[in-house]
Amino acid sequence: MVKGSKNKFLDFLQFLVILLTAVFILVPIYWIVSGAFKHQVDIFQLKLLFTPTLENFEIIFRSPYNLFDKLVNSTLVALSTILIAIPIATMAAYSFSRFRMKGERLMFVTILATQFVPAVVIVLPFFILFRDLGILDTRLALVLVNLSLVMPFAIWMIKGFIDSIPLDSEEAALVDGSSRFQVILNVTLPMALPGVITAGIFCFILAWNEFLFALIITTNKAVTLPVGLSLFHAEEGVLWHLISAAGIMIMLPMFVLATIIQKHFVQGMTMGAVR
Amino acid sequence: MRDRLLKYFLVFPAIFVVASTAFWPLFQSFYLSFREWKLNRARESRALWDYEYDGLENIAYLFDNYLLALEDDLFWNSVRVTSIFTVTSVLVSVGLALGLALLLAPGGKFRLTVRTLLILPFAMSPALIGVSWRFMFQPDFGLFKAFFDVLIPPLADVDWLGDANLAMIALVGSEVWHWTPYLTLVFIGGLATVPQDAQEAAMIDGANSWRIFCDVTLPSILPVLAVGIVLKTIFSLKMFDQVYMLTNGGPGNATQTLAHYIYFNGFKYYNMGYASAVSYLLVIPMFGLTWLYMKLVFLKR
Amino acid sequence: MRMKIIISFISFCFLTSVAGAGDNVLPYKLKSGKPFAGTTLNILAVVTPQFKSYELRDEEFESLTGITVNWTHIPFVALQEKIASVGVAADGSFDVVNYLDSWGPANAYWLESIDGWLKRDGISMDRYPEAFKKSAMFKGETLGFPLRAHPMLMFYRKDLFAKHGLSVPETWNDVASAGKTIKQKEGIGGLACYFGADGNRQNLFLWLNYIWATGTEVFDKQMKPAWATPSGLRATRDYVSLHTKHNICGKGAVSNVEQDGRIQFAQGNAAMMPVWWWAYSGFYNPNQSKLTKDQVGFAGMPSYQGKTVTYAISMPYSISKYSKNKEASWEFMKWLSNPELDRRNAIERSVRGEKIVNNVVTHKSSMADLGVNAANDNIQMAALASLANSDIMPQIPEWPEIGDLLSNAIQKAATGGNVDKLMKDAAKKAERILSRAGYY
Repeated sequence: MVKGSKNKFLDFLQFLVILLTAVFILVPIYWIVSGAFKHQVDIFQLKLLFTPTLENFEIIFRSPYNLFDKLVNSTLVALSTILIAIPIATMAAYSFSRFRMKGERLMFVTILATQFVPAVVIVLPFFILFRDLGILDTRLALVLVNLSLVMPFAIWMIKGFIDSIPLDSEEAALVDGSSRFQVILNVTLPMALPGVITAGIFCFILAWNEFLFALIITTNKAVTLPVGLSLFHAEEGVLWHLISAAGIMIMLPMFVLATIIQKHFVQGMTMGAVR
Repeated sequence: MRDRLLKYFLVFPAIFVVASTAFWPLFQSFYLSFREWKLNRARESRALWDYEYDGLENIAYLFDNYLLALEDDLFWNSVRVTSIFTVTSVLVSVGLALGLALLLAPGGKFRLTVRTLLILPFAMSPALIGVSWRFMFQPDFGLFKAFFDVLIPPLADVDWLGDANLAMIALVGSEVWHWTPYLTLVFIGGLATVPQDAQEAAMIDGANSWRIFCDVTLPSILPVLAVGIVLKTIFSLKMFDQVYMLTNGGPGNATQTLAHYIYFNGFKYYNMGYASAVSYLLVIPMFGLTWLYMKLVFLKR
Repeated sequence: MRMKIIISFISFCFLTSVAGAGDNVLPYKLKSGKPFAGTTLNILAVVTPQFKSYELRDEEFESLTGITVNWTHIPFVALQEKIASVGVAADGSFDVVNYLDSWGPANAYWLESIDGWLKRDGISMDRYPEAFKKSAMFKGETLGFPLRAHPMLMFYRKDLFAKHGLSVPETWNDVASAGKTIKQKEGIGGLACYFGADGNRQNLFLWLNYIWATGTEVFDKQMKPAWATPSGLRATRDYVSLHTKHNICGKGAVSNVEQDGRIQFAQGNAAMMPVWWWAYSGFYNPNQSKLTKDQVGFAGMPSYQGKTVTYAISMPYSISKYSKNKEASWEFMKWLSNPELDRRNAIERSVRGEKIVNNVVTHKSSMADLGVNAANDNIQMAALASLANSDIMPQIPEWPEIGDLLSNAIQKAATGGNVDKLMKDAAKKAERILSRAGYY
């Protein structure tokens, strides 16, 4: 009897904590999301009820904000970045994790060390480099910058996940006669998939939200969302109703992506159990 | 035998990408941290580093920027602020994330639903978070004011961003809100690789959950945990947009992190060489942290 | 139909006769004969309705000269970095740039002096008020035209002042007492204070009013910091005591920046707001404000110890030294800055179908113009009066850094710090910066 109610109490406690977490996450998000549906004048009122409007979403896609072009640019740049970075990073991470190499420590630390320096210090060297290459204000330039930004973190994160995967299944497969390549493809990758996807989302978000390089390198043609968002800092003040609407546009792809990916996580976990 | 070539082949593309994109700008900025690189001076040519220099014969001149930094008490102030901020936010967010990961890892519809929410705070850009949180702390119509009005009346009229300590709490709070959910996702992913059989074996042996956690779970997710800590620390040390939007280093210099100090000296005061020098001083603790990681995790194979 | 033909014919004759009479004379002193036709100019400007309307009107310029104009608008929050990168690029990607006057000295090395052109084409900078003229100069050279420039005015709630029998504040003491009354009787802030340090030295605007009124300068003739004199310190203490002693400020005085203060006033949470004149229309715009036009009044800035010296700010336009089209850019500058355009921009409320509300004019003639004043509740007259005793922040490349030192010191003082110590400390730091920069 006592044990049963203790379990129930613990269960309830867990439930409470999870609920509080959800609330903690959601409250600021609700605040922002609700702002997207308010008229500008209602923003400064703390009302729970207000007359909603969809006009903000229309306004942000019109001139002078033209959010759609920036959305396209951001999507292309971020997608290109992870499509190039994640496969390369996974290969390197596997190697760092499973093999001993000459100078591996140096390589590994140096890769991460390229990200120790704040962006402000290297943005102008990049700027001049692109000026001399003639690729200022292009998406290519942004992809190059984001690649350098994202690679170290991708490698480190994926390596961390691969490190957590026990060697037994790989060794078993190797003993069975598979080549190393087949092992990576058929054994390691499926198990590391949640990790790779997490790293992929991380890198996508990094590239998606990158501001300073985009500001300095682009002017008209390759402007991305974060720079576009700065247009909502008008001289009369921050245009909350518009920035909230744009914020939703920015968060939505991520949210949809993550929901779809939850299924992968579930798969990954059950795979780990059934062995 | 084939493995020997394969391992270098696997690593090569990554090294190539990093080397070709990152090294040249880094080298330039490192070189310029020893020179008087100011954005408000004319240059001799279109290259970034063609300035007239004097004092070249004096070798100590090369370290001017670094010495200047060490003499400046605003520099030391930012070191102090950054240390407090980073340590607090890393401890709180990693600790919370680990706990939440354990709570949310098991399946079930409720948990799955909450897990989909975890990506949201991280999907917001730091600038947007800074600006929204500043809005929420507004003493006239901010969300937190409404909360406190209802829940903790004495706190209702406090100007959070106008008080040195409260502003720091606000900053750490927004950073924790930003990162904890994502770190939770990362740790959940890590928990997925914990060998189920070892856990079951331990349970059969009669071990309680705490022991299982310490002996089975923790060692298994240590690599992921360590990576999480290292990455979070690096990002906290470099964090700029959030401080800029939320407090702008205020009140006074009470929340001026090193990244903020570097940015302002670089772009706002046009002293890029000095800013570079300070950045390269900032990398020292990062190297230290990485060295620690290497010692603890990398070699445990 | 017949009438139409007659009118068109008469207009045609008139126009051709005008064109024929001044055979080589285009308006705005532009070069006739379209010598630069086919050139494309790139303009970098801040986002503001005033400049948006210039962009919408530039067809006139294009048809007169054959020069095409491309505008790029950058929000103010990102402008300083963008301008710095244009200077670093050194590639003529922008021909004409717009910037804040306090960044002028730092960028002056790549901005073209226009003195030669001014003389050649007979344009005098005296068409601008003294403070505006100064803001576009550096080391005796004129770098550009101050096309967007502002004096400060004290905005106040006419209705609340009338309700409590308060007269328009003329001194800062008046402000303190009126503020106390309003705070007690209405429960809202008396003055919307903005002591926050925002990276653009906004909390120095009013501080300068105080110290300049006592004859204290920011720097003395040897460029040593001069604000820590006894009278300067006293003025600073009086400025900060609006909040720390008199307690007349609205909520969040220490963390508020200018924008927060404007919102505070517009939302009815403070009864007075000393700010730029362009904020006027925002105070009764139903999209942004709870107030109606009748509730918003404005007056000149209050005096301190019997004197009023106010701070004026500007955003000049200059030609880049790296531009490959300097002469064509000069033609553009002449058109952009012409008095007629300046005037019309503050009267006409719609340009090519787009609604533009702007009260900013910078020519002395526009400020005195009856039409302009009629369209803007005579705010330009008030501005002209305010500009009679106006000055600008020191024009030196190191000002952003030193100004931020002061800005942070003021914010710390407003949280209750020791004013004298903070200002003297800032003076020591500033002296070190200036000495390293080679001033002494």
